[in-house]
Order: sequence, then C-alpha cells, then structure tokens
Amino acid sequence: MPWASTMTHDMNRRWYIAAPNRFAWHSWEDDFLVYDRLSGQTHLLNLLAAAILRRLEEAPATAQEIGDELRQELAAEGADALGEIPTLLSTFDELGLIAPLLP
Amino acid sequence: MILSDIPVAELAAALTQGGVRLKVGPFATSIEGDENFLPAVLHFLYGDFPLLPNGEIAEFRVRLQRPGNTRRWFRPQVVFLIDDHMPFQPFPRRYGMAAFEWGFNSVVYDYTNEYLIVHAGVVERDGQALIMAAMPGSGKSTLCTILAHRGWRLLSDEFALVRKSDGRVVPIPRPIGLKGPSVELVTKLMPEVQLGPIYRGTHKGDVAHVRPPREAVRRASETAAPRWFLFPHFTPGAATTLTPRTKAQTFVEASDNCFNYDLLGEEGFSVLAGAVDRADGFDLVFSDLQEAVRVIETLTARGHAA
Repeated sequence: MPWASTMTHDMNRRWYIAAPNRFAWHSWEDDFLVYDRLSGQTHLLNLLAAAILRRLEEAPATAQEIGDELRQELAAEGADALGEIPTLLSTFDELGLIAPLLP
Repeated sequence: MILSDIPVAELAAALTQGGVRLKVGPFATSIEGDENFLPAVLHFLYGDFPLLPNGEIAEFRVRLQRPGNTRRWFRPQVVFLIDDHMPFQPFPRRYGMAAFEWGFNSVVYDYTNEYLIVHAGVVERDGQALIMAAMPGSGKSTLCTILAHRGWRLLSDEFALVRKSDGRVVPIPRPIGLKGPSVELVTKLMPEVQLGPIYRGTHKGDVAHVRPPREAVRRASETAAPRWFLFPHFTPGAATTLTPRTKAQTFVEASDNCFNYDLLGEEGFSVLAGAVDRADGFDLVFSDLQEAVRVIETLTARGHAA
C-alpha cells in the first residue's frame, strides 16, 4: 500500500463538495478540465485528481476511503500515485473546491 | 453598394452630417467624425465594406472627433466615442487612424457577448480556420498579412469571434494593424500589399494598416470551422520550430488569450472546449517569416489531406 506511508490524521478527515451539480467537465485522454460553476474558475486536472473529485461528487469521503476505492480501479502504475491523495485533497481545499466535514 | 462608391468629398460631408453606415463583419456600424484625415483614410481602408441597406439599424455609433477645448490647437488630440461614451483618454492627433482602429477594437470586446472572443489573427481556407492566438509582438499580424495575400482568406487580424450558438468563426476582416519593423518588412516582402498612412511614434511604435483584400470583405458573411490553433512566438535569431500541444494545453493557452472567457462563464468554457475538440494546437517559434509561412503551409496541407 504505497500511499499508506503518508497516512496522518488527515487520512480520516471527511471531505465533501459544498454545492450539488457544481462542476462541468470536459476531458481529452488523461487530461480533465473542470469548470467550477460556483467560482467561475477553470482547473486542469490529471487522471488521479479528476478521479478524486469525481468520487467526492458522489458522496463525502476520507482520503483513506478514496484510496481504497481507487486502488481497485486504477492499474498498477496508477495505484503508485495514490500517495498523492492527501496532498491533492489539501490543494482542492485551498482552491475552495472541497471542504472538510465537521466531526 | 460599397463605401468606395461614394466620392471622398461626399463621404467627408456624410461623416459630419449623421454618419456613414457600414456593415463591418457582423456589426452594423454608424461612423461619424470631423477629423480632416478621416474621410480619405476611411475611404481607402474600408472602401470595400458594404453600406447598410436603408432601414437597417446600426448597432453601434462610433465617432472620431476633435476635443472641444484648447487641445484642438495645442498638442492636438482626437477622441474616440462609442454611443457618446469615451472608452479611452484622448489620443494624440498624430495617431490618426490608429486611434480609430484601437477604439473600434474596444467596441468589439467591450460591447459584444454573442461570441467567445480570442485575441488572434484568423485566416481561412476550404472552410477551415487557422486561429493564430498570441499577445502583441508575437508576429501574428505579419503572418496574417502574408497568408491573407497568399491564398488564405482574411477573417480577422485581431479577433477570432467564435459564435456561441454553433462554434463557428465569424469574420470581421477589418484592416490589419502592423507595428514597428513589420511595417517596413511587409512593404519589402510584399509590395502588392496596400498600406495606409504610417503613423510614427505612437505608444506602440510606428503603426500602419493594411487594406483588407477585397475578396475577404466580399465574403465576410461566410463563417469557418476552427481547425488549427497556432501560437506564434517571434523570437529574433531562433530556428523555426513547430511543436504540437495537447488538447488541454491548447485550451489553457487559448483561454489565456480570450477577452471574455471569464465573463461568459460556463458558456465560454463549453464554446472553447468545443473549438479545441475540433482543432489541433501548435506552438510556432520563428524568426524567419518566409520559413514560418512554409511550415504553416506544410502543416495545414497535411491537416487538410487528413
């Protein structure tokens, strides 16, 4: 479990997307554009970042849960990148795309 | 009936008495002005543009006039007005038609939202648009001038107007603005290009305008499909290199060159993504214009064959 080495208390923080139907998507191969209807900003995401945001569109989740689920979906080389999940969640948080649920 | 059907003396009178009504690309425009230089230069640069039929309402009323103060005589200035609103501070009078053209640019990007507006030179062949998007100084106007006189149809030197309703590029083949060394370069390379007066020492250097080819103006209602996004980078001394961009990289660079991407919100996102879907993106670094044109011809011939 390569991503487990970065586990901190953040791994159990639950994240969610504040507004329903918030994003418009467009993709080319492994590049994903997401338009945030709330802020009017456009973001360019790679495959993993897009998968995380897509997952959070479905329901709130922790980094641990997202990692577990994506691990099954991604090929071996993709699974190696799962260690980036906490960092990506923090970046999404800084960008205002997601927010932590209160305990 | 086109503008050059009116003698210059009559045009001068019309400009001060209610204005001359022209179809400039998709825009029905009324042009007025009391500047002495305006009638002859307008007659030359816009001579092939059609007059609006009687009864068609002008969407915009633009006016180039002398200010009503002492600046009429002391370091004289000109003022550009759009529907009696002044988008810029007055220009020095010696800027001449450059003041009109810069003012007209602001009409397009400040007053229209039917289009996603990319800052780009655009030419067309076989219904396919080559969109050369770039910041000033990139060489896009010079490339645009050469291509527009070598088998391509000029759609615009300044804007790719990508229509929101169907994603097609709508022509607005106004005069091409050449700046700095490009003026002399084009004169030497292509003596057949019809160039208006040269305005020396503007804040953008020397400026002159190329009269748009007659065929481009005559076919200004024929739209084109985006096919190539080319990002030219004039770099003195550089070898000519053409580098493909991914779709996502093309989108990012194109959106950076849009005037109203943020303003259009999700519509802008969808329209630009749709245009990039149908187009290939490339960076073109060059210092030799002729070689750059050859590279463009090779690229687009390949694209066309495909």
